[in-house]
Amino acid sequence: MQLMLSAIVGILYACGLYLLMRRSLLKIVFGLALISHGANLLIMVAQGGHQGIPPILGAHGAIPEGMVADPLPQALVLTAIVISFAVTAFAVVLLLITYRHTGTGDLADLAERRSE
Amino acid sequence: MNSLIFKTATRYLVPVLLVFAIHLLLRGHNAPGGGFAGGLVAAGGYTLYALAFGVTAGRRTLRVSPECLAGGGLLLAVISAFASLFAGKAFMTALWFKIPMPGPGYLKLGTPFFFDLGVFAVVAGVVLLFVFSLMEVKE
Amino acid sequence: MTPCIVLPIIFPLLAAATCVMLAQHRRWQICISLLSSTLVLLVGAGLLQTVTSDGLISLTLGEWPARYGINLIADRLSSWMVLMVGVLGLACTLYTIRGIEPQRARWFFYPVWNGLQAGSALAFLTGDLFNLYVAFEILLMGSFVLLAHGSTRLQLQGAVKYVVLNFLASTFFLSAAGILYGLTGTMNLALMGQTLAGNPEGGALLAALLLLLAFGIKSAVFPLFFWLPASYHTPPTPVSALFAGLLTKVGVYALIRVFTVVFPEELDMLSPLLAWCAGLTIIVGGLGALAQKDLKRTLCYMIVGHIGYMIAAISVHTALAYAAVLFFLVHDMLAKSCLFLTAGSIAKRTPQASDHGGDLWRRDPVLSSCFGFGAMDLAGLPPFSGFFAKLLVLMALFQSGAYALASVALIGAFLTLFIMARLWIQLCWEPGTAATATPLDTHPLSQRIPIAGLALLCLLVGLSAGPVINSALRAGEDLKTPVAYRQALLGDTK
Repeated sequence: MQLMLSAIVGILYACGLYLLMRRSLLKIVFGLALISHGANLLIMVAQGGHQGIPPILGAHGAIPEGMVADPLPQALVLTAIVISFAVTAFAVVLLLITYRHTGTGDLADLAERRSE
Repeated sequence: MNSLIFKTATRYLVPVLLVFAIHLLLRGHNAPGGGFAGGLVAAGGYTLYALAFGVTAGRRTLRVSPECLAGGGLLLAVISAFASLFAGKAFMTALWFKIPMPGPGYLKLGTPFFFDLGVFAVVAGVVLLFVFSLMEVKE
Repeated sequence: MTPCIVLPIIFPLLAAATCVMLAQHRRWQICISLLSSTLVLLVGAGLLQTVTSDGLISLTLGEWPARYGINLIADRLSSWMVLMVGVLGLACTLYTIRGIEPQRARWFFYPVWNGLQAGSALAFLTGDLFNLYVAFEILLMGSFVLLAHGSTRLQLQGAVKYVVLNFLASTFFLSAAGILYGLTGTMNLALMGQTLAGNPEGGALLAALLLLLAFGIKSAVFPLFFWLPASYHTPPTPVSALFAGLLTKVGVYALIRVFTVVFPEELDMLSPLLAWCAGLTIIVGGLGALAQKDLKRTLCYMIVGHIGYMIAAISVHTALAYAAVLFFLVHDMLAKSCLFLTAGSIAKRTPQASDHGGDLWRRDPVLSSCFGFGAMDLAGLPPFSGFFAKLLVLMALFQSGAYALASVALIGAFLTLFIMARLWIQLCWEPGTAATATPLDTHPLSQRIPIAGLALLCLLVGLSAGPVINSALRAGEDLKTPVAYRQALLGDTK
């Protein structure tokens, strides 16, 4: 399981970096989204992947019995997901506005238009 | 969106969604849920209403502007974090009060609840701000 | 006095919340933003005083133990930086009164503006790696919006590069945080350092490299700098002035903070790499500025070049070097903001003069002397703070025997002097054409005050360099051996 998840992290990074090399802005945004998913998954993998019961106190403060899951990585990932969601949304809107103002989503065309 | 079925269903769905949003907010302390999820569901309810009856109607039903909702929520959250300073504890420490209620029970109310309420308002306000502005964009 | 450490974060946050609610009232938003910046400035001064007299201030939010909770901590470096957030925030907000068109300000300009300042204050005060990431994101989100705000074509082209590169940097930062959490089981900087100390692991070096990459992109170090000259000159003047003063410096601050507390051993290993990057950054910044004709673009390359000096000092990592970085940060924040505001005023009022032939000295002596102050400060002429900043960096380099780097720094200083002198001659002395012979329209007071204030501060820091350098030297020793900092962060875990 751990190995498979690690492989998935690697694949996500590789695909994301490949997409980042493309000229189309849309693909770059996709690449960024993929890499941020990879980073989120990396946090979950890095904490060791042991599973456990929810770390929540029972009635009258009873401590849960057995192996308890580590809540911190999940809190970190939740925060990171919200942040990357916001940034991706911003990137998509930026892409849309750029397309509307310049009529192209291609980086090379954008650079040419600047020199005009 | 001029469908009679959709409009009629919306009339019944929106109150259910709003009650469910409050349910999520309240149960969030010890169970899955909380201000974030609740705020999203509440925003979903108003979005549904705006889809069925138009943005103007949606804004009117909300009564306050989404900007005020978001800003007010942020204010409430920050102020609730300050409360512990007056009790001599560190910033953001949770304070709990037991408020006696009629009957045998009592209500346990604390600053985390107000923080969560603030989050609820921020999330609902920001999402509605997005949705309403996007619906008002003329292509 | 301890609670006041949260105030520099809370004031801008409250201001942002109120500004959102008062979205239609521009005057109120300006008043609130000015008030919040003034308060941050006062609290920053208070923090600096307290830290100087009583030592570190630290606070654990919500009374959680240090391993799990979030810590805020202020030492001399952080307090100086918070003070600078207040100063720059106040100056740039004053400039926005007439520097941002009202219809542009309607679209949530001030909430984001305040959010940016809250994010940078949080970055300077946090003692927790993940919180640093969150602070960076708040800051970045604010800068994304401000950069694209108004969406002119030029702005969009710059914003695309800026957003993509910085988003990528954040992802690297996040990955490094994940790896470090896996290795140490905590996000507390001091605990991380303690756990990693003495057992060199490949993972720690990988995380250190990733963090170096992330902070390098954010502070525009040599191979990763090109987004900066492409974007910083495009937004309205007060925005680019605040960016020039704050954003890249947050990256430098994070580099110092994280590497001194968490990776002292990795810093030893990576210092040749840092030295190369620093030297190339200085050269590229200087040559890039030499090739530019536009005033703001020249200044953008000057930002890059001067980041090189700070990285150079970090690469030798002695106490004196850290002191030099602190002094350099303070100097550079003041000088860059001052110059960008001045450049905006010059370009706005004499559009054709952004190239040369301004004849500004005859037409507006006050503005051109402010520009002269900033330029002399940046070039490092003696009575100004820039002289002492460069002197300290050179002393630190010579002291550790980095002669090659020191000579590169000297060449860079010479280039800066040359470029600034050339700009001054072109803008202020060269007689204008018929088009520029017309008298200038009056310069609004809300723009004149921040420019003159920052220019005078540049001079003042230079004239009263003694106390500032003393404070910086003490801070340098604390940064070299962050024992007290670690203890304060660990708090009650023992």
